[in-house]
Amino acid sequence: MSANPEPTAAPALTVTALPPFKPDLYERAWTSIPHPTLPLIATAHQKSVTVFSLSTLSAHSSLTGGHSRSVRSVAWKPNLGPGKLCLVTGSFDSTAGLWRWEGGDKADNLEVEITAGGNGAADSDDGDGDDKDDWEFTLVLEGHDSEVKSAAFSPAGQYLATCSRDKSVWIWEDVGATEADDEWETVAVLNEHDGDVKAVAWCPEHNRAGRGRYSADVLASASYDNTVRVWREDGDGEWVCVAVLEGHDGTVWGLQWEPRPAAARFPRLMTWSADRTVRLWTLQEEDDGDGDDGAGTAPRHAWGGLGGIPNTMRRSLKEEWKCTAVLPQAHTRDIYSAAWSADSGLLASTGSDGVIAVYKEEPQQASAAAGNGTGMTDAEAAVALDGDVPMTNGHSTAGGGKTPEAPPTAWRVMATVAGAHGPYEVNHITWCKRYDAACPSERRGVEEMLVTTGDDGVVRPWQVS
Amino acid sequence: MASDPFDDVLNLEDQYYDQGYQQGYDDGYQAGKIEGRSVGLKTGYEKFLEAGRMQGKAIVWANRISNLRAAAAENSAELKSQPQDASAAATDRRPLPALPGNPRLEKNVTSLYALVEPGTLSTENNDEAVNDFDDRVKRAQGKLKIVERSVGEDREKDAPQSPRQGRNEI
Repeated sequence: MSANPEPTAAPALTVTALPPFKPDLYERAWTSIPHPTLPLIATAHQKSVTVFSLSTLSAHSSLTGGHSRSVRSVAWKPNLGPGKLCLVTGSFDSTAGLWRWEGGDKADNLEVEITAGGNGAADSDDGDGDDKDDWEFTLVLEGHDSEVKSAAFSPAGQYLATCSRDKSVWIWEDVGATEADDEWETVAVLNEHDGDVKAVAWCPEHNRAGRGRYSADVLASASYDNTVRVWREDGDGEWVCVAVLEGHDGTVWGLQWEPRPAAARFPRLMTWSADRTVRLWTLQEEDDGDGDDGAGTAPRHAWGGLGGIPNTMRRSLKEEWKCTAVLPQAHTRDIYSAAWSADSGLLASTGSDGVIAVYKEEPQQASAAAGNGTGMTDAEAAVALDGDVPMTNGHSTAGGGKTPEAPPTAWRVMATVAGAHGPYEVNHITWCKRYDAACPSERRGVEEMLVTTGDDGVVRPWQVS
Repeated sequence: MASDPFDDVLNLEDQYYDQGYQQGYDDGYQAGKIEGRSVGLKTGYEKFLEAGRMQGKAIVWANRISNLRAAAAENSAELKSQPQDASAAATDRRPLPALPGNPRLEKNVTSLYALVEPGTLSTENNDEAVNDFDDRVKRAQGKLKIVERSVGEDREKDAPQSPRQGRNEI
């Protein structure tokens, strides 16, 4: 399927379908997560997960039997040694599971040949144990009262966050003696959302160290209650909610942090929602205008020295986040997934209407920014919303003078593809490096493609050019 | 026209309507007040029962952790003698097994107690106080779960939950 390029001055993008991953899963697939470094991608469908090889576009191994209900989310554990793989699965049976696979050098080999056919179902794997070493279910993480919607590892792999329909976010810490020991302890149970929590995401590592009283790990959660909450760990080891991002008019289905923020700025947060918009939120940072050095400056307000105050008194020390962009509307129904590329900065979204849309951020040349860069994007957002007031974190927009000057940008739709999976809903979209044979060898591992996962059980890659 | 003498007679239905309306309104007002008070009492009781339950658990755990019990012993001269008596009584009979006091557990138990400390939870009925109460109780519930898991007391809750059948098997 070719795209309908937007008639614009800048060269538009074309999104072309590539052959789907084999075998077809024949059951609803929910999400496909590429490995951070290896040419593998894990797809959750029904009660199991199938790992595909990106070089052969066919099945590599599968994870079965660990859950009694649908597996809805998957995440790779980062920073493992060579030849080792570890995944966490989040399931509707209220548990999360940790799985390990040690297939020797198979994981590193880009040219692996899969001989055992199999259709990704359990029967071909059990008892064979030849090419496909099965994944081993090493640990079950119980505790949630109802369906686990999402699970994510922190960038260093030290923390795991899970969220659930029981309105809570749980944070687990790796307390195993070595990396290979799967022992996780519940460190926090955060009950502050008013509804089903749909997704959690950790802020990727950035050069901004912890802001004074907080550590460097930042977690964000998106919920059925139309808000996103940002959580940080304070000096006492307590996880506290430091911001509530309000502005969406419907369930926030998910969120992703900006994978490669501009040098001195804190990563922005991208959220997508049932209200058919994708929004970008920026942390309003207070500094003296010099920008922050990598070491992280101490907070310049009065709270800096008050380490001894008990947590019941400290709730009021919050961050301020502002919605600084609302992407042009390209969807007619709920947006279930969006992905922000670390390499190209392009953003892609998809959802219930089966449409794939690709957006690009461009510096805004038109009309002089009067002073505040943030003010310009607020106006852009206002236009996009037909004059609605740009959303803030409950604070007035008047005091915008303290934020670091961000060059004004605008987002434009570069390509759309309708009916990406036919009449089926598309549940997930992600950017992914290409390693397949059709890609010229010097571009393997460099060029990016999109991978969509739909209710038809098809995991389909798309070439973007 | 000289209809004054007949006004009352000609507008009887208005009069009875007003009378009935007023009676209904007054009755409703009374019933509303009574129901409001009883619902308020019930909700208040339930909320504080929950808070007290968590506080009780926190005290028991605190006394089982040797570090915290030592800290409580220092304050014995001060306010409460009840916890002291309770732990002394416990030691007379069969003491509860002591808990290994790792710093994280101690911190969690301490903050759990601080969140639901008696006397600090306001009984005012204004929005701010109610929100504060709800917020603290929710956070305390989170802490409770963490402590229960690290102490190992969450096991008995798992048993009845094994047949976790959903409406649809997806």
